Amino acid sequence: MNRRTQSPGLALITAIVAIFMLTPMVLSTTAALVNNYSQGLASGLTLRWLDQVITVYGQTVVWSIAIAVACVIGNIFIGVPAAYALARNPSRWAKTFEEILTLPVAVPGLATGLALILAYGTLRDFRQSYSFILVGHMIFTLPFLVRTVTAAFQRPDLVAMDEAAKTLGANFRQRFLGILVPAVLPAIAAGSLMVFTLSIGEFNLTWMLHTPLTRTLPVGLADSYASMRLEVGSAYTLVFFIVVLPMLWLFQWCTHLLEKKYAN
Amino acid sequence: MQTSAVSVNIQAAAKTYADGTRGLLPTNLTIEPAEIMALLGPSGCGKTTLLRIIAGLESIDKGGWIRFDGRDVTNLPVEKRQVGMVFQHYALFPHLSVAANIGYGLKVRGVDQTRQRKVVGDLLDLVQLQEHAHKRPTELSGGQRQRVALARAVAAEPKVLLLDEPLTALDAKLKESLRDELGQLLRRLSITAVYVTHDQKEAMAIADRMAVMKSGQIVQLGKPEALYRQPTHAFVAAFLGRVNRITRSAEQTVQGVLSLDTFTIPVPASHGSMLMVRPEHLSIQPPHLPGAPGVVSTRVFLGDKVQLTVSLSGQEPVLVDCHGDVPWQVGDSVSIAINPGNLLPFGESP
Repeated sequence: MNRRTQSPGLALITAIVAIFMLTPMVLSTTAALVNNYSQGLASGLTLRWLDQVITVYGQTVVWSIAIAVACVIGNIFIGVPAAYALARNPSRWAKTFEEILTLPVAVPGLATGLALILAYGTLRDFRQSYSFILVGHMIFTLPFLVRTVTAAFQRPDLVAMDEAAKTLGANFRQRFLGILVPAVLPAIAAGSLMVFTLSIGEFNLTWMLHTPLTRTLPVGLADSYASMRLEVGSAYTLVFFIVVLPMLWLFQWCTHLLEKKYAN
Repeated sequence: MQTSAVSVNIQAAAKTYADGTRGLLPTNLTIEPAEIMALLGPSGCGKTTLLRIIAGLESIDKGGWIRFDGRDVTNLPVEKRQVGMVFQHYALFPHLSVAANIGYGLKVRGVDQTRQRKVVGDLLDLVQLQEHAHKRPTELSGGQRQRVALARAVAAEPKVLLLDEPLTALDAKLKESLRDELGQLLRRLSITAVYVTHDQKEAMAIADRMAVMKSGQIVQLGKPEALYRQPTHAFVAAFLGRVNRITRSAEQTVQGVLSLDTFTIPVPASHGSMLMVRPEHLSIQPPHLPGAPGVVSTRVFLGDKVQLTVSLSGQEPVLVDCHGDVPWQVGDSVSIAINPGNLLPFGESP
């Protein structure tokens, strides 16, 4: 049953692709740990670039994670009820609404950012706070959650569960929170993972929305690439890997667990 | 657990959907307290629509009404109608345990914990799932899930129990054994029940009375045996079992006879020109005995019985059910005896 693939040609192609993809990662992370990139390992290993990144850009890492988490929470509050409404509403308006909702995914982030600045840029406190970036991220990532969860709510077994709970006397709040949301939890988790991932790495939109005092990790990264030594930029990438990858894995693992638990 | 069963009275209930299709034509139906009523018919006949109307999951067109024990429930929303429903694929709550599924209706109605535990315990006993109380529905077999669905539906002592093809999701063999089990359970609960199915055997085995439906209306209503033996419509006769169709000429109809070759029997003119007879009501005998002469064209051995197809001159071939040890083989000449009393009596309609 567990017979390994025996084609040497396929194994070779896989190896080549893997090496091609891993090399930049390895080079970039090595660059972060050597004294001088042009001299390579011969120049000796050091942690000072990492140290510099944490001192100068440490806050951007914290804020990026905070924004991604807030984005997930906010989108769950807005997106899950919206998904339910869309799933139970067969009208043309609902279809149109869903299409509009998806628009920010197709429109370049720069354009969305500009539109937000034009509309709300004059609200100074809002414009200069991280919540301005958060709003941008939520607009951009909401459709990913709504789409996934709407599809789950539309499943015939969910419709039947809703009706079953109705016949048993449950009111809307009891049905929605007690039956429907738990039943679509795997979809919510999968959608949230998507939202988190997109928000953490978002650059386009954030670049438009940030101020010198409100910078996220990717914006800081661009800044360091542009204005500092190559080693500092690489160290920044390494910080990203160290901080974000474990979080993504944890998130993915939770999603997987939920899917297993609620598999029908 | 049920103390007093209620009657269900439906008058002129009709359903027209937004796009104009008529799911149900104006229908009247009275279900006695503790009676098990089957709604039987092919898909699209309106049986599920009628069930969902009783549940309150579908509204009805203006002019009709539904009463439970004389109380008008036409405009009562489903949450307040106090019905129990068993869904086609059970619709169990996957994240709740078996016990929590059964107790859900009590919990949302705010019944106190002690009482909840007692009722759930009693029901687990009744459906013999005590040792599965803490499992999740996905860990159960199809038959067990179906019993959980039934227990959940009756836990809050509904006025009416509605079952929407509850055995459809099971495989054929399990279906047959569970059919009888379900019938016994329903009788023990002595609750007014409406049972929707497209399987006539299931309906006959479980129901006290059944309503055969076609194209959005009830065609005939009555006890299963009466419907099988005295169908008033050709559709009912054919839907409840196999039938042979024998035609006679207008002349024979007027004279009140049926002539098959040299064999003639009296059949009242009121039976019409298209006659129906069930395969088990025909008997096959050696060719020299009086009967309609024919030739065996196929022979299907079914273990306890043999099903023969016999060609008659001037008629469609007829099916005859025989005992498993009849000697007739393909090509044999035989004679078919028809008892006029076994011809299904209805008028002209083919």
